[in-house]
Amino acid sequence: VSDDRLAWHQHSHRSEDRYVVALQGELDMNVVDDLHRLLTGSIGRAPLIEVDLAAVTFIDSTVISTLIAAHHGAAAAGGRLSVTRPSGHVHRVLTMTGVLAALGG
Amino acid sequence: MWDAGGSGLLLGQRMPKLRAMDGNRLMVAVAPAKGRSRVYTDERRYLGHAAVGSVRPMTDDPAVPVAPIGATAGGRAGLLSVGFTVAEVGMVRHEVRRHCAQAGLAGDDLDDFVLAVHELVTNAVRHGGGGGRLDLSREGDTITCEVRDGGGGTGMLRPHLPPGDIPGGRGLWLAQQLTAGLMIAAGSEGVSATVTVCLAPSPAVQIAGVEPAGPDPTAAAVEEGTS
Repeated sequence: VSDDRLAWHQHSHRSEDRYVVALQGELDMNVVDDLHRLLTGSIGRAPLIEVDLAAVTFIDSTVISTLIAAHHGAAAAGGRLSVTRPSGHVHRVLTMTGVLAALGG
Repeated sequence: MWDAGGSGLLLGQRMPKLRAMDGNRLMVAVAPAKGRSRVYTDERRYLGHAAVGSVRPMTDDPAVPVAPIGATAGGRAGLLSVGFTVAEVGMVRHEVRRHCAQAGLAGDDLDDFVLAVHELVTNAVRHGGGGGRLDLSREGDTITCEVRDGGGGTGMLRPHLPPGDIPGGRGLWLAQQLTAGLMIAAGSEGVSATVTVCLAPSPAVQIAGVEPAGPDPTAAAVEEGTS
């Protein structure tokens, strides 16, 4: 599946020293395999990978695990992957689980 | 303050209670993280706050009562009953949200409950035979959702929160934290997980969130009487 066919993948672009992956909509277990491939494929495109969650309205524990795994993958490659701009309930869930503190930009 | 049905224990702490029953059965009662319902099990049966009386123990033991405990007038009203596999996870989530919103749940309470139910559905798909069945109902001011999986699962049933940089294992923890109560019953036929939420404002949340409106009149009376 190419990136442009994923409804929850808003866009990816390089911005100065970082590579931004912007997601949108509802993310659940049905997207985590594609999300894992998308994030893994972004590692190495810039020292810093930012996963922009501003337009994401729903995440669950499987998505959280995928984000954490990608965070470790980036670190193993000598870079860093962080999540940015979570809002609403996504921010609430990432905060209460302690994940935003670990992965926040 | 909380009527637990006339006997048994009142859970004021968040520590899960684990008990093996009938050899191969394991029942888990998890004290609520929010809201006012209190749910627990003892050696023989589930009991609970009146508001969660519709929860049924997952057992065929005739000694175990399955009738609602402290049922409110009007009884239980089914809101949604649906089977699901991985393909229906999103649809089920949207339907649960729609019915809960129609029942009056809103704001963070609505988002919290929808995610909690979704985590149970996800667990059933991933660890419980690929699917299951969901029953959403309302009784009085309480919404209850039971998710039964297809059996054969081996997943861990204890809610826990891993550190923020460790993948995996947050589903049941979220279901516990985001609702007024989580109960899990596991047997040879599968796993049943039930979450509840109260529509009415919770005294516990009010106590935690705001200052008291004024001095306790009872305490004032005692002071006046002794001064």
